Amino acid sequence: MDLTDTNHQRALLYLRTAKYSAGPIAVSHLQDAVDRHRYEAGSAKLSHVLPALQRSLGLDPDQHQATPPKLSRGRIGYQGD
Amino acid sequence: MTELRWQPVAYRRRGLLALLVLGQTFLGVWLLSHSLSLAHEGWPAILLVSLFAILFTWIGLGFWTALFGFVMLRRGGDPFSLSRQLSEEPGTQSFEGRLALVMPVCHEPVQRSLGNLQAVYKELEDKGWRNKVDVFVLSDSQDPEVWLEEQAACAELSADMTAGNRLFYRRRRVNLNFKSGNIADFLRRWGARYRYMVVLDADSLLTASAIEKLVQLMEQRPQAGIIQTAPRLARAETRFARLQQFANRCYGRIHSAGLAAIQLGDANYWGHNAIIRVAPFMAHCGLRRLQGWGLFRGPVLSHDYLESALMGRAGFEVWLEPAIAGSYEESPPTLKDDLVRDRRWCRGNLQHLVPLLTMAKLRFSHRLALLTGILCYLASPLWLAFLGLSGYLALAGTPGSQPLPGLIGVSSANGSLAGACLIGLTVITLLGPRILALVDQGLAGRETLFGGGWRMAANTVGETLVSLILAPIRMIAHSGHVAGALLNRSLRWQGQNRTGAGGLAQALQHFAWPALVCAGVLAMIQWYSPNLTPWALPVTIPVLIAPLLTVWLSGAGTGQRVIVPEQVSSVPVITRASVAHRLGKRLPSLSWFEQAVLSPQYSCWRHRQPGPYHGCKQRALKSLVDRCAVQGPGALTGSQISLLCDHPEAMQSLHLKAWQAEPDSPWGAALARLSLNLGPIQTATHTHRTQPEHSPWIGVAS
Repeated sequence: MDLTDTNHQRALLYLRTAKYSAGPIAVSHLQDAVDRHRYEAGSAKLSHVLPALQRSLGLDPDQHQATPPKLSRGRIGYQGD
Repeated sequence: MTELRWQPVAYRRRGLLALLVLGQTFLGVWLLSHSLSLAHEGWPAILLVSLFAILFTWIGLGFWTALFGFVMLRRGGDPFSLSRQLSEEPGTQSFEGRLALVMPVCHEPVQRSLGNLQAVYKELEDKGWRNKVDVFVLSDSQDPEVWLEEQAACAELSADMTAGNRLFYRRRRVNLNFKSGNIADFLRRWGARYRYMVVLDADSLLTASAIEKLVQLMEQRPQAGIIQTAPRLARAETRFARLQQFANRCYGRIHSAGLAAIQLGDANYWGHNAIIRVAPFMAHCGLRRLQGWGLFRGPVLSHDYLESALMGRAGFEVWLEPAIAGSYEESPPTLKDDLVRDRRWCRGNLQHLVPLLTMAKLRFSHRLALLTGILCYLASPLWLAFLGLSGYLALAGTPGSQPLPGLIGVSSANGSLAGACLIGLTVITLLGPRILALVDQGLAGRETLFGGGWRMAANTVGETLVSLILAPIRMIAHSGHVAGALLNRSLRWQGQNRTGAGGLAQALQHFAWPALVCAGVLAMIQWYSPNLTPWALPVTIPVLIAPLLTVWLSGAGTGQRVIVPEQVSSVPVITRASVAHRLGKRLPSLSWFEQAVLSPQYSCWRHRQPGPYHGCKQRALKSLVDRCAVQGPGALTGSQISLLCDHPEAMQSLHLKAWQAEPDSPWGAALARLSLNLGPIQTATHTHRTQPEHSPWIGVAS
């Protein structure tokens, strides 16, 4: 990837944005993904790079699968009328 | 467990109260009748006396309730209150199970309301409530900029929670039946999982000790359906709010003690800062939409009094426990906000006329509570009518006679004495509770909490003067509210201003019409009967200067000189709420929607949400995504943005398109702004390493 390329600049901005709010492990994965595309996929398009970056965020081992509160399905009694 | 026999005591106390109030009213009516001159006869005079009887009963009720409270507090508290009776119960067991802490919000200031919530559950965690609390933030917000911020703040709050406690955020797409519908929606889904729920308002603060006490009382008294605390006002920053806070802290004590003593187990629910036994509440307190016409059709706006009445009808007790300390709420910061809130409450309370007349088997005390709620607002037009009628009688009477004939215009020796007595009686009724409150604070040795005896007295005089000036403004405003409600003028809930922002332009806009009408009335009085003008000035001048008064009262300045107990000795939960840091990580220079689209983190949690979509919905979403990707967020309405945000696939698509946007497009400009403000690339992250990488918070989809 060309270092002056807009795609690369965007990828770096993406990394900076992720760093702003992501945890260290996610950022580490993200950094790896950017480096990989920088050195290996020279002609990669942003449309390919971003999903790869996102996937690397999704690979975060600390990520929990959110469990919603179990529904209990109660009834409201309308005895007021 | 000791059997509490509070009903006979309650009946005796209520009988005594009725006797005192009616006795005073008869005395007032007798004095008025004797002070009216012979020229004042016929239906206007009868109507005047009738109005006077209603209004005198109304203010008499306030006076005697305060006196009851004074007596109770001087006796060291009400021996028949729930907390006093059950405090002697031996062997209190600790609470097993989970407690639901519920905060319904709708376009509230996010940082302030969720900061309050954080302070409350942090208190609980500090007190050892581990693996016992489920916090629910129930949002009815429709503006995506508000609810996206709510979500982000809740995500951070949830990540911050420890000790096995959990926080859930739920937003309803359709605000069916407003706040009561929001709570009912929560109960339908998760209510059966909890024995008790503590309901908080967006400005509520409860200490852990208060919550513990509420739970303990509920455990000890299975017949109790609702236990309501008496919230103290806190965190007042403007002059107006500080005066309200002073009044609440200085005089509120005897009023709430008196109310609790009279109501006992037939008290009312005030909508928040209370604990509710969930099962009977679900079984008996559902509120159907009203089926009448105009105002009396549609969802119930003011639900709390009705819910306590229904709880009472189902055989459960509702207690007001002012002795439980550590319950706080905030006052509206300005007069304008106070009146806006009153407008909403006015509609809700007037709606109670239907259940009052049609609901069977309600307890008499709850019917009376509904009636007093209605009278709270109906009293203003009645006062206005009384003043108008008084002026009419003065005009129609003998030349030179004065308005307010019962109070001022007198023509004979007997009339003079009766009029003077009536004036004295009225002044005592109106100012008596304040004097009693001062005496009570002094006898209880609490004057130091208000900066000393002299300072407390001086502040009372100041607060009373401001109240007297505000009284005509409230009367005119409430009369307008009642008229607007009866004409069913639409009203939209836009959340409450809790911060005090607002200027002269806003105040002028709000009070322009009342001021103009008042100026017109004053001009007419001066033209027709100049001798009446001096009597009209005390009512009209406050309304004419209302905009300036509002601006002055919404300032901070001298308000902080009015000392209140929380200023003298700080309360940890209030301090914690006041210093709460900003919740929800926000990328610089982006709106919440832009952040939701551009942030890789948002993109990440979106992956965890369900929601495949097909057919015309898919086409509609695709069209929105395409339009937003090309034209930017400004091309979509709030509801369209909310729709997009509720669909992870659509947001994912928009996320990729936005990041690939041309530099000269709206998203390209947003990225340029972001790049400019994000700072240089850093190897270290801003995130605390102690914090979980991805918090297990739940954005429960509607």
